[in-house]
Amino acid sequence: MDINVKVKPYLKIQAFYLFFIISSIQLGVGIMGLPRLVFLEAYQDAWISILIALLGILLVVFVMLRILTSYDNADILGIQIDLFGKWLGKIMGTVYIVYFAVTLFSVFITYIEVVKIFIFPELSNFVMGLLLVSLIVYCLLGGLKAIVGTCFIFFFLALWVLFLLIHPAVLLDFTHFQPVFQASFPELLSGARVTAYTFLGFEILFLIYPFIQNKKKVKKPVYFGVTFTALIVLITTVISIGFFSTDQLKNREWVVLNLFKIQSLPFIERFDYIVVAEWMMVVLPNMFLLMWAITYSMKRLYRVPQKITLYATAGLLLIACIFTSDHFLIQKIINTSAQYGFWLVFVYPLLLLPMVWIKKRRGKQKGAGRHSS
Amino acid sequence: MALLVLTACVPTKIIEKVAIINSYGIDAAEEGQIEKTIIAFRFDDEAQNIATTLSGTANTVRGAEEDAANKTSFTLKPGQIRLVVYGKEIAENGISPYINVLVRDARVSSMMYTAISTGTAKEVLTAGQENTPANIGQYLQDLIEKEIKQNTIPDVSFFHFTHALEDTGQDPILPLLGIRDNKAALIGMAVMDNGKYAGEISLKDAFLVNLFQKNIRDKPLEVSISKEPFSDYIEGQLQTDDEQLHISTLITDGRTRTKMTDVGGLEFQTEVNLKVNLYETSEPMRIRDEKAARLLEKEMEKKITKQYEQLLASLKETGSDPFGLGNIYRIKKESGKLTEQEWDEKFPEVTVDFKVNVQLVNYGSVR
Repeated sequence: MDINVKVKPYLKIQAFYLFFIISSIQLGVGIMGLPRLVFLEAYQDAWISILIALLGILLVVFVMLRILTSYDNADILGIQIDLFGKWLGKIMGTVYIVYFAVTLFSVFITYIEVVKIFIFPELSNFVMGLLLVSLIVYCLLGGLKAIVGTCFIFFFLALWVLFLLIHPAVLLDFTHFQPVFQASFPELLSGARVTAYTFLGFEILFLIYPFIQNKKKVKKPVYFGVTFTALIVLITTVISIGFFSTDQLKNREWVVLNLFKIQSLPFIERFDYIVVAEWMMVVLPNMFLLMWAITYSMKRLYRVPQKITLYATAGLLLIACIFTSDHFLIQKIINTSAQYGFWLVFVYPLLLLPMVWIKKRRGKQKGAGRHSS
Repeated sequence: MALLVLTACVPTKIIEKVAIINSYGIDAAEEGQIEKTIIAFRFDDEAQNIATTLSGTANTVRGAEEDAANKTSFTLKPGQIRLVVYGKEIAENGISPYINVLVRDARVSSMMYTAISTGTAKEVLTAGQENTPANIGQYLQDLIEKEIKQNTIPDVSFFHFTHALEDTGQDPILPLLGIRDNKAALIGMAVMDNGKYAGEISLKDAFLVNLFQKNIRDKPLEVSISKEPFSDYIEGQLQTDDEQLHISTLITDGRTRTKMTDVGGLEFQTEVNLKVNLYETSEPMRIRDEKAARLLEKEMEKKITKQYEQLLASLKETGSDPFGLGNIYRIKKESGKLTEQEWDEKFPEVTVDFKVNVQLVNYGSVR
């Protein structure tokens, strides 16, 4: 297996699409319940936790870019093989694949659960699953360019939902934020930590990097992408805390969706129905990218044709979703994904960078030695 | 193609076969059960009136709905509930157990109203139905909505209500519905304490609560003040023997600001700033000079201050805090936390120094 990836020129994408790729894979089902989770940890100072999380993410992204730029055109799978050798490298690559699969599954079933609770309680998981899986397969067959295109379009198609938040925003009760700075630093940190599941997704950069055409311009869209996500999360959290009272916030499962229950127009009375349906446009790019990550990694590591992985994963998703309708089981899967993701996405790159440095230095010394002899 | 196949996957709801619940009332029945009176719309060609009344008894709200549904050929659907009325008897024991069904079911709208009735909810919903040309649920909902729009009562939409209910430093108030002249009407506001009916206040007081909570614009206000200081300004003979001078004004801008002056002593200070236009006086009088205007302002200030003080005194008796003073206290407290119980104990000890500031801006076309 080559460490560097040879990508055909017609498959390459422009760097600025990274903004849409990163923000659409980050925003998904996590944000629907996030304000509550952060609030449980950091109370009225939850917004500080999110800012801390943003700083952490910016650091991790910085590290990721440093790792990637020390190679010509490599992805994480190649880098790991370069660092750890063939066997350990492949095992670490598999860890990534499993992580993508767990996350994909958690997004998949959470969205189905939300649809069942808000719109169709009688709907069977299978029907909804079939619908989503067929969309995933359809888009994946179009290749990476089609996926990036959907990210781009759905980003704008889903953006208008933000304007609906104006109504709850004017009803904010500012006493809910006071007194400020009550949470201790550990509380703020654990608040930042629970945002992990929501912010997960920017690790796609590790895989998609070789496909970028103008690599010099990578930084800006990536940083803007994660900042944009954090901003959206911050806005929804602040509105949720101001709009709901403490006990309400503690007890509501999908706080953000509850924010859409008060808008009303003469011709559309219930915006929450529309928002839940609209949310599919937020969730789909998410699932497309995760599915692509799985199929692509399988091809890179084990030379399995992408179509075979795609159909197999789709089939497994469909079968598994029939058996997971219990709320607490779904929560457990989300937690697993969050834990797993926290270590793999936030902590692991920080450990990887020194190893890359050491490797490079050794390589140079060897090279230098050869020259002198 | 996919759409054609999938249409069968969600149970169909044919509009002619469903009854859409518009409003319902909850009353206490025998043996701790509850009775639910449902007013639902059904879209039947043959029926004269689309509204139909059903009732059922069971241990839970949904159970009672099932019971009621057994008496009709229609399927009852909860997505369009606009008004829920709780009978006074059941409200006195607390309505929280019957609220959670509305929150838990994500399909119920947050824009509906909850209300308390002076008698049983059934009475308001059924007796009212006979004397109201339109559907009673719709009628009462429109009535409450209108009063909110006109700033007479605070916004009591369901999401405001649940917010106040679950906020430790604030208690909700709900519209109190009753029967007047054989018609269902809004007769006051019910103040709640821990989800229980604690007492009632008049609509006038409800306005004071509203003024306390938010900025008010364009709201007519009638104030009765003592006639004596104005003897010089009243023209000619006194028209009535009434010792009070009634004046009608329009509030163009009303703002309130409350701060805590002493945290340990639970002392608050509330500044009420009102800009008003004079519309009507019960005695023909002349606002000749600035002195007269200032006098009028001062008397109004005195009166409104007194009204606020009386309201607070009666609220303290009921133990309900619709003003949200508890929230202000919580902010000032060192820990920043306040439990419902703690505030219940402390609320009767609060003192509020009301500083009302009235500014007469216009006097109409008469000087």
